Amino acid sequence: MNFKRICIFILLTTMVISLGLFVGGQAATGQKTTIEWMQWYAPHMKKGGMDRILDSFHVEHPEIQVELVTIPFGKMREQILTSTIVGKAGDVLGLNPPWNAGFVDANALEPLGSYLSSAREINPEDLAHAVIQEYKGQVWMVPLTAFPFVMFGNKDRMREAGIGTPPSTWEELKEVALKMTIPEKGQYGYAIGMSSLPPSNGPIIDVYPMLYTAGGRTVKNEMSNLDSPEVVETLKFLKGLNDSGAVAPGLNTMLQTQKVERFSAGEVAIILNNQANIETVYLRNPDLNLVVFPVPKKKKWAYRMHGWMLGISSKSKHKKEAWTLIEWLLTPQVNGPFSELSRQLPGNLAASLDITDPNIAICEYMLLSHEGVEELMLTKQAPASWRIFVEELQKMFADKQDPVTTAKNAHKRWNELFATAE
Amino acid sequence: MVLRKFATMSKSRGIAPYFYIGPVMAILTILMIYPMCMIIKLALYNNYYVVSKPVWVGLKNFIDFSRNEIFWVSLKNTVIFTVFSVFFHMIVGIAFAVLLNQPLNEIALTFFRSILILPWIFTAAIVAINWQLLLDPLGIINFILGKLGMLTSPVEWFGDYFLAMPTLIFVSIWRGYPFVMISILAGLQGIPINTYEAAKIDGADAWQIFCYVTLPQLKPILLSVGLLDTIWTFRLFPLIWLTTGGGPGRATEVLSTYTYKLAFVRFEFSKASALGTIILIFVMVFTFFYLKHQKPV
Repeated sequence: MNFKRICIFILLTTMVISLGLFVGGQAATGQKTTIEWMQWYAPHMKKGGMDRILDSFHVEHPEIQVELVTIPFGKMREQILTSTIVGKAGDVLGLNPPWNAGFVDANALEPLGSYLSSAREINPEDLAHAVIQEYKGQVWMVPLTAFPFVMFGNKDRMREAGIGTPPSTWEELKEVALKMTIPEKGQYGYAIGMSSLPPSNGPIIDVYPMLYTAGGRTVKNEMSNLDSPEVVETLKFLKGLNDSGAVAPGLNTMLQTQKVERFSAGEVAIILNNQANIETVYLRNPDLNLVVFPVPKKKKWAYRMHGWMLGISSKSKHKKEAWTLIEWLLTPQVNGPFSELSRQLPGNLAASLDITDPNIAICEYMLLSHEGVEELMLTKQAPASWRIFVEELQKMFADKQDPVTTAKNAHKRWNELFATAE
Repeated sequence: MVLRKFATMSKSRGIAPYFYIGPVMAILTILMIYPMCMIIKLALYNNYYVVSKPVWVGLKNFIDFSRNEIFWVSLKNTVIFTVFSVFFHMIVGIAFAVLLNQPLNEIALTFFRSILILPWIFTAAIVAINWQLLLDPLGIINFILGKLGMLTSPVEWFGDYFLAMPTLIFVSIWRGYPFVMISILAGLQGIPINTYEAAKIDGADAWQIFCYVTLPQLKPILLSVGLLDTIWTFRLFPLIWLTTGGGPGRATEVLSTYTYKLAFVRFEFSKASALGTIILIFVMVFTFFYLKHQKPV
C-alpha cells in the first residue's frame, strides 16, 4: 500500500513539475522570439559596428532576439539554397541583387509586396529605386545599403607619374594606366580579374560598369544583347588595354579579392570595384593615399548600382518578426548610422549621412547625379551567365578569339542558357 | 521460407551477430545507401528542389549528356588528369620509397620520411592556396625562373590554356605521392633480405635487382594502391575546384567540377545527379576490380 502511494506521489509530482516547466517555457518563448539573420556584412563593417546596431534593435524590440549568422560572401548563395532545401534557412537573409531571379525561381524567398505596402516606419518610395525591381510581379529584396561601382586610385602613384587629376574618359584611363606601369618594379597601372574560381564574377565588375558608360546593356527584352556594338566596343577597349601591357599579368586567374589586395599593397595603381571595398582598402593599408573617382566614360556618366540587400526566407517561421527587423533597419534613423558603419550609402535615400570622407562623398555625388544601372536582378540564371562570359573573355585575353567573336559566342551561349531557364 | 531459414540460423548461431553488425548497417544505410538512392532518383526527374512539381523524365538527363560538348570535354580532362596523376604518383612514390629504404642514419631517415610525407598531411585548401601563391605570375617561382634567365615574361601557370592542366597534374602529383610512397615502403620492408643477397650472388646489378626481385614482390601492393589511387583521383574535387575552378575556359574542367557547377551555379540538381550517377558507375567499375584483386585466392 505504501509502495502504491509512493508511486502515485512520484507520478503526480512529475506531472506538476512538467506542467510548470511547459507553461513557464511557453511564457518565456511567448515573450521572446529568436530569429536568425544570415549575412556576410558584419566583417566588412567598422569594428563592432554590427553589434552596436543589434544592441539598439534589442533595446527597441525586446520581444525579438536576433541571432547573427555570418557566412563568407563566396559561400552565401550556396548556403541559402542548401538551407532552403532542408527547410532550415535563416529568417532574414542578406542578399546580393544578382541572386534575385534565381532564388525566386527556386522558391527561396518570401514576396515583400504586402509588407512594403503596410509598412509604417518607412516610405517604400524612398528606397533606392535601381535595386528595387519587380520580378514575377513582386519585390523580393530591399536595399539595406546602396552603392556604385567606382574606380579606386592610388594618389601617390598618380603623383609620381605626373598625373594631376584622375582619368575621366577611356582614352585617358589607358594613357594613365600605361604611365604608371613599371614591370621591372612589379608595378602595374590597372588590374582585371577574370578568375574561374568562385564566384567567378569578373565580367560584372570589370566589364559591365565600363559598358554602361558606353550606353550599352547586356540584356534586352529578356534576351542577350551581347552582340551589340557597345559591348564589342567595350571588349575592344579592355583587350587593347591588356595588350598595351598596362594590366597586371595573371588576369585569367586573378580573383576580385586579389585585385583589391594588390591595389592595397600598391602593386596596382587603379582598379574598378564597388564602394564597399573602400573600408577593405582602409583596413588593409591605412597609409595608402586612396582617391575614389567615377568610372571613366565613353559616352555618358553611368555606374553599376549595387547594394547589400535584405529578404525573408520562404521557409521562415517568423516572417512577421523578420520583417520587423528589416523595416527597423530601413528606417532613416537606423539606415543612416548603419551605412556610416559600413562606409556605404543608405538604401533608404531619406536617411541623412554625415559624410566627412571625400571618397564616400564622391560616391554619393554619383548616386545622385549619374545614371545607376542594375541589370542582374532580372537576369535569369545570372551567375551562370557571367560564368559563360568569363570563359569567353578568358579566351579573348588569351588571344584565342577577337572581341567580335567573343561577343558573338557569349551572345549565342547566353540565349541558349536563357532558353533552358524558361 | 525466409523466416524459417532465419529461425533456423537463429537457433544454430543465435541472433547476436545481427546486433553486432546492426549499428554499422544502420549508419551505412543512412549515410551511404539512402543518399545514393536519392541521387539516382533525382537523376530521373526534370529538376528537383527548385521546382514545385518535378516531372519524371526517365533517362533523358543521361541521354542529354551524350550530346553535351562540356560533358565530353570534362570526361576527357578527367581521364587525362587521372591517368597522369596516378602514373606519376606511382613513379615518384616508388622512387622515394626505394630511397627511404636505404640503410641510412636513423635520424636522417626519420627526417626525410617526415619531410616527404608532409604534402599528404596538408588539406586541399592549404595546398591550393600555397601553389596559387607560388605559381602566381608575380610569385616566387616566376621570379626565380626570371632571375635564372629562363623566363622573359611572367608565366600564368594556372591561367594559360596549355599549361593549366599540366600544372594542376603537377600539384596533384606533389600532393598524392606520399600515400604510394608509404604503402610501397611498407612493402619493401617486408621483402626478405636473403632474396637480395641471392640475386647479388647470382651477379645481378642494382637495376636488375629492382626489376626482377623488388618489383615482382611489390606487385600486389602496386595493384591495390594503383586502383585505390585511381578511384580517389577520378572523383577528386576540392584540389581542382580550389586551384583552377575548372578554368581557364574549360581547360581543367573535370566531371566533379562540372557536377558542382550544374548543381550550385545553375541549380540543375537532376542533371547534376545524373552526372553524379555516371561518376558513381565509373568508380564502381574501378572498385569491382579492386575488390576482385583483394579476394583471397
